[in-house]
Amino acid sequence: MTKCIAFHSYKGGTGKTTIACNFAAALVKKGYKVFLLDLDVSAPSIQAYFEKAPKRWVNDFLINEADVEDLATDLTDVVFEHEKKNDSSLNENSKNGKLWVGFCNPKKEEIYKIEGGKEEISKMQLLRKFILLREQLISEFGVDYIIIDTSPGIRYWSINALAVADILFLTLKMGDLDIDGTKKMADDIYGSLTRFGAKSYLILNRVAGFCAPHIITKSLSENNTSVLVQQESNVNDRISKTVGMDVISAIPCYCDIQFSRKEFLTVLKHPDHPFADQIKRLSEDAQVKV
Amino acid sequence: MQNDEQQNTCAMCGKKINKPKKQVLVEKIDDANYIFDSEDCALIFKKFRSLYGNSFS
Repeated sequence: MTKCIAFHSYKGGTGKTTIACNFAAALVKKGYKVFLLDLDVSAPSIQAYFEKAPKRWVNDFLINEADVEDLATDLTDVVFEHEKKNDSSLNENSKNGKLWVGFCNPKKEEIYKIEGGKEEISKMQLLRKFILLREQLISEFGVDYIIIDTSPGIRYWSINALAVADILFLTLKMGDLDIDGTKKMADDIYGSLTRFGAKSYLILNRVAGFCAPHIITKSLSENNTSVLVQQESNVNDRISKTVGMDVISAIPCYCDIQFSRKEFLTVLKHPDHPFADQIKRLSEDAQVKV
Repeated sequence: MQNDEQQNTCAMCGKKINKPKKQVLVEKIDDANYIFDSEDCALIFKKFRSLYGNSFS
């Protein structure tokens, strides 16, 4: 049975796309067939992330100008290229893994068309094409997972993505929180969907306290070096209670990722990196398993 | 509510339903009957209805 997982956030810049791409790659490494779909319609970035030129875009499918086969770019080689270089743990099962990506067109004219600007295509027709896309990814590609990267906030396409998803991951960036906005969105949108069986979880990203200056860690007693982490854990609990959703993953802030010129699939390039380990654990969570 | 013309199409995906009448999935939502191609379509329709309100049909 296919699981559809949507990565969403209240605000932009939470690391949603980075986590979604790494999460998709981690599942492929495990031998799953994954379709990563860019539905951050107003600010698509997955094409820039992979630096690949698709034959056709998701936009073309939605406005009846392409078939599902044309929008799917097979990037399985990208995963296994790194696997061969970095990871000796490649087993027979891993080899079954497949990664297809559906890229969203960043051109303003194309964004306008699927935001309802092309009058001959109604919003309902666009929505039905989207439902058909999901159906065809399942029936024609036999995918285990559809991973959707959505636009932040309450927007037409992000709501549509959330509505077809089985699991909703709401990504929050620590240090730049808008708890009130997030809570309102969680109540309004997520509440409507969990009533019908969808599951929703918080992913806390860039959690501080893991790379504190030596002068701070030194001031802590020898047996109490995890105080900062403990303090963050308390914050996580508070956020979870306030927003009313469980935290499924709290990803520490890693400067080498946050400030790198371009992070690219850390889960493949640096499989021993603690970020990769965190993503791996998320991909193995019981709630995520197909 | 679906009109006569829509009665053979799924309220969610819009596909024609070519099933015997007894096998067609009918759901009563807000006092109106809607027909669906599959359980999946019915579930997604209810989610959209919950999000967008009664104007979604």
